[in-house]
Amino acid sequence: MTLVRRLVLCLALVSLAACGGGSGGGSNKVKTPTTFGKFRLINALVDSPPLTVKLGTVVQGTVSFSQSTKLLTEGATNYQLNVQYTTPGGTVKTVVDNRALTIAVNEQITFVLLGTLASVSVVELDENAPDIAAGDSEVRFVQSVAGGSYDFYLTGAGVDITTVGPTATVNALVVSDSMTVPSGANQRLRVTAAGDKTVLYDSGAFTLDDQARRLFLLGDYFGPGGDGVRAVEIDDHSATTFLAEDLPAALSIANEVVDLAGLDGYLHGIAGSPDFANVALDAISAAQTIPIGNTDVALTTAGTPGHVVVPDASFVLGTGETQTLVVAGVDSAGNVTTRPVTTPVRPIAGVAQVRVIDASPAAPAVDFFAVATGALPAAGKAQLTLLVLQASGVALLDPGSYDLYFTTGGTTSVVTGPQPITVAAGGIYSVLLADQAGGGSPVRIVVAD
Amino acid sequence: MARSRVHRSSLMAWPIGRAVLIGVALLSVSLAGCGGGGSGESLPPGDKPPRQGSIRMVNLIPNAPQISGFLSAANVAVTAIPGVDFGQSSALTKYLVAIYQLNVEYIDPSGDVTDVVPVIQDIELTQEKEASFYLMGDWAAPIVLRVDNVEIDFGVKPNDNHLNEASVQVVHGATSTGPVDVYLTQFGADLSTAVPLATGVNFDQFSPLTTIAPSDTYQLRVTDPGTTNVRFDSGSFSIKGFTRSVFVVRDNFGPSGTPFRVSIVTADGAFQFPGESLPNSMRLGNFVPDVPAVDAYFTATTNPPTFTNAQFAQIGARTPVAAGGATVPFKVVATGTTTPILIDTTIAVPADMYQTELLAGSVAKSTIGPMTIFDEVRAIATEARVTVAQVSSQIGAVDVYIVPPGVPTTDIAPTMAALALKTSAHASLLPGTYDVIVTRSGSQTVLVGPERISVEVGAQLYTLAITDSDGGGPPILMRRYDALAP
Repeated sequence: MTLVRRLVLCLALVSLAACGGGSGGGSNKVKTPTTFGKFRLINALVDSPPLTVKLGTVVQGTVSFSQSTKLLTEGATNYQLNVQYTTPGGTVKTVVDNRALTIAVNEQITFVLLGTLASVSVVELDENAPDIAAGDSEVRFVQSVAGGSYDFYLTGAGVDITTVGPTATVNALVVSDSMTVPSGANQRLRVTAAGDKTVLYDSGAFTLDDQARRLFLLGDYFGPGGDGVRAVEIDDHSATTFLAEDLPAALSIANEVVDLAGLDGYLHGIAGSPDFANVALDAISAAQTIPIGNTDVALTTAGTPGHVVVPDASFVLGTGETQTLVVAGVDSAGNVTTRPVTTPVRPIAGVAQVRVIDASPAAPAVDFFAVATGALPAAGKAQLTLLVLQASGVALLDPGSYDLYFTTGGTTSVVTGPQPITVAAGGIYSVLLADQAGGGSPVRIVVAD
Repeated sequence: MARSRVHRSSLMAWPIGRAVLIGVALLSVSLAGCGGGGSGESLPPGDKPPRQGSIRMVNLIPNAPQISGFLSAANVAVTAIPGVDFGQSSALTKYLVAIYQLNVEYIDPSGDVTDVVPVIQDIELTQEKEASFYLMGDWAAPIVLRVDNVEIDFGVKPNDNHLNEASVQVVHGATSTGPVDVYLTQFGADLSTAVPLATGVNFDQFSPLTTIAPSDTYQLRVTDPGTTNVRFDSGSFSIKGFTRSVFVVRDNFGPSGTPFRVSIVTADGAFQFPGESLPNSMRLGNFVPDVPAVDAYFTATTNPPTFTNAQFAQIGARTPVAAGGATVPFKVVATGTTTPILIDTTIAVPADMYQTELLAGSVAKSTIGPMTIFDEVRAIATEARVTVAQVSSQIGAVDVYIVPPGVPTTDIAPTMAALALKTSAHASLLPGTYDVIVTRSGSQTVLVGPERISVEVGAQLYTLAITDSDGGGPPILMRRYDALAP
C-alpha cells in the first residue's frame, strides 16, 4: 500500500472516530445485542382457554394449554406482565395482573402458570443465557398435575428404571432445579408416581439437542389410553409432543350418509364383526382406542357387509389424538366423502366448546352463528365463516341457551335454523350441517352430542 | 489472475493523483456523516450527500439455504440484506460511508441464527466503492470472495460519454469445475480467433473489470482453458451502456446435467441469460375439475401436443421443452379436441430448469389458467423445502400452517398466509415431522388437516396441492406428490 493510500485511510478512520468511534476490530456481533434479555410464558393451567400475554402494552402472543410462547427477545428493562383471556361474550378476564418483571441483560426469564384458572400459581425462573458444554443439555421438569409428586427418569432409551434412581422428584405445581444431563439421540423420559416404578408416562426414544436448555412439562392428559398424565418438551420456540410416546389414538365415526339408516365401520378389512357397528344416521359413535399410525377404515351399510359405502378411508392418527371420521353424502348418488376431524377432549373452565362440521353436500358455503335465543344472525358476528363440505371449526360459547343458524357464506341469509341448544360450562358439543334425510335441501342442523 | 479473500485491486491500481482525490472525498464524506458537509465541496455532479458506497452479497454456496446479511457500523443503524438464496444476489445497495462489519447469517426455520462465515470486519465503505461479497464453497466450510470495484457512477460528469461504455468482470464460484476461459464476443464469432475476456479463472478468483462497448448481440462462452471446447453458451444477449455485468460461474443443478452455468449479476440482482438454449424439463399437472383430461401445446394446435391426456389431479412425467425465455405461447385444450382453446397465454420456459406447470381454476367460473413452479432439486445442507400449491377452484385464499406435532394453530401465525388460487409458496423446514392444517385465510375454519408429513434433508421434492375433490367441488383435499406421495 502506498504512503498516500495509508494517509487516505487514516484520514477516513480518524474522521469516523470523531463521529463516535469506528467498529474496526470490534466483536459486537449484530445478532447478540448486549442490551436484551429473554422472556417466555408457559401455560400449564389445566382448564384454561388460550391466554394473551402482554409485556407492558405490547401483546406478545397467544399461548394455549400445555404450550409455551417463544423465548422472546426483549429489551433489558422493567415491565408489567399481564395475562388475560376474553370470554366468548367479550369480557376480559385477568389471569396475571400487572406483575412487575425485570428483564436483565442476557437473562432468560420463564413464567410458568400452574394450577387452574380459579387458582393460579406462578413460578418465575430467572436464568442466565445458557453456557452448556458440548455433549450436555440443561433440563428442568415442570410438574403441573395437582395433588401428587412424580419421579422423572430421563435416561438412555434402553435403561431399566428399576435399576436407577429418578433424575428428579417433583411435587405438584413445582418446577425442578436446573440440571445438566447428557445430550444426544435415544433419550427417554419416563414418569412414575414418587417412589414407585410403575411407568405412568413414557416418551419413547427422542433426541435431546446438544447444548440446549429444555423444559419437560408434565400435565393432565385427557386423550385416549395412558394414565392421566402426559409430558411435552419445551424448546425455545414451543412445546411439542413426543413422536414415539407410548400413547394410542382414538377414533369415532359420525354418520351423515343421509340415505342409509346405519353404517358399519371396519378397521382391518371387511370381515367378521365391524369395529364400529351400526352407527345410526345423525349419530357419532363412541370413540374407540386404536393404535397410532396409518389407519384404513372401510364403511358398509349396517348389517350388509356386501354393500360397501366407502372401501378405504385412509389417514394417519398421531399419539394421543382423538378424531372423528365424518362420513357424509348420499350413497345412492355416489357422493359420500370422509374426513377425520379433530375432537376436543379437554374441558375449558367457564366455556363450552362447540365443534361445527359441515357434512352437507347440498349446502353452499355457509357461516355459523350461535345467537341468543330469539335473536337473528347479525352481520360480522359469525362464529365460523365460509364452511364448505367437510370443513370444520370450534366455536367457544358462554354457558347458556342459544339458537344456532347457518347462513349463506358472508351474509345473514338463513340457510337453516334456528336450532335451539343449551350448553354448559366445560361442555364439549358437536354440531353438524347435514342434508335432509334421503339427500338434498332443505339442509338440517344436527346436534350430535 | 487475482486470488484474494479481500481484494482491492481496482482501487490499488489507481494512480496516486486519483487516490489523493479519493482521500479528500473520504475526509469530506466522513465529516458529512457527522452532520457536516455543506457547500463548497468539489464533488462530481451526481455524487450528492449523503455520501454512500454500495454493497451486495451473492450466494454461490451450492448446498446453502437462504442466507442473510446484517451490516453494522458505529452510528449507523443495523441494516439487513435479507434472504439471498443460492444463485441469487442482493441488489447493489447504497449505504452511508462508514467502516462496517458484515454478519452473514443463516436463520433456520425455527428462528435460530448461526454464522455462515466469521464476521467480516473492517469494511471501509467509501463513496467510490462498490463492495461485493461472494459466498462460495461447500456449506460445511464456505469462504468469502470479496471484490472491490469503483462505483460505476463515481466521478461521472454530465459531458462524459458514459452511455457509450459498459464494464464487465468474471467471478468463478463453482465448486464443480476447475479453471475456465471466458469469451465475450459478438454472437456467432469464431472463438478460434477471439480474444478471451479472461483466461484460467479458477474457483475463488475473479478477473479485473474490463470496459466494453454496449451491444445487443453479445455472446458469452466458457471453455476449458486454452481450448475452444465450449462448456457454457449464453446465446445472444445485450449489454446496455453505463451498466456493469459480472459473469458469475456457479454450480448448476439443472436437468442438462451440466455441472456449472453462468449467471449475470447486475445492480438489480442475479439473472440467467435469456438466450440460453439448454432445454427445460417440464411436467404438467391438471387441477381443473371440469376438464378431466387436457392436452397442452407450445405450438399451434395443428401440431402434436407436448403433453397429452393430463388427468385431473395428476402431475405427469417430465418431458424436455425447448427453452424460450419469459413469454412462450402456451395453449390447453380438452384431450382429443382442438377447440375451444381453454387456455391461450404465454408462460416462462427458462433454460435448464426443472419446472412444474399446474393448470387450475375452472372453465365454468372462467378462472382457468396456468401457474408455474420452478422445482428446486438441489440438496440443501440444513433443511427441506415443501411446496404448497393452492389449486382448488372452490375456495379463495387459504392459510397454511405447518407445525410441529402438538402446536395449535391458534397460537401462531400461518406458515403461508393468504395463499390465493393459482399461487404456491415454499416452506423451509428442519428435518422432522409436522402437521399441515389448511384454513380459510384469516380464520380458524379448517378446510383440511391436520395431515402429518415427514421431511428430511436431501434433493427430494416435497409437494402438496390444495385441490377440489375428483369431479369438482368440496371437500377440499390435500393431495401429496413427489416424496410426500402416498
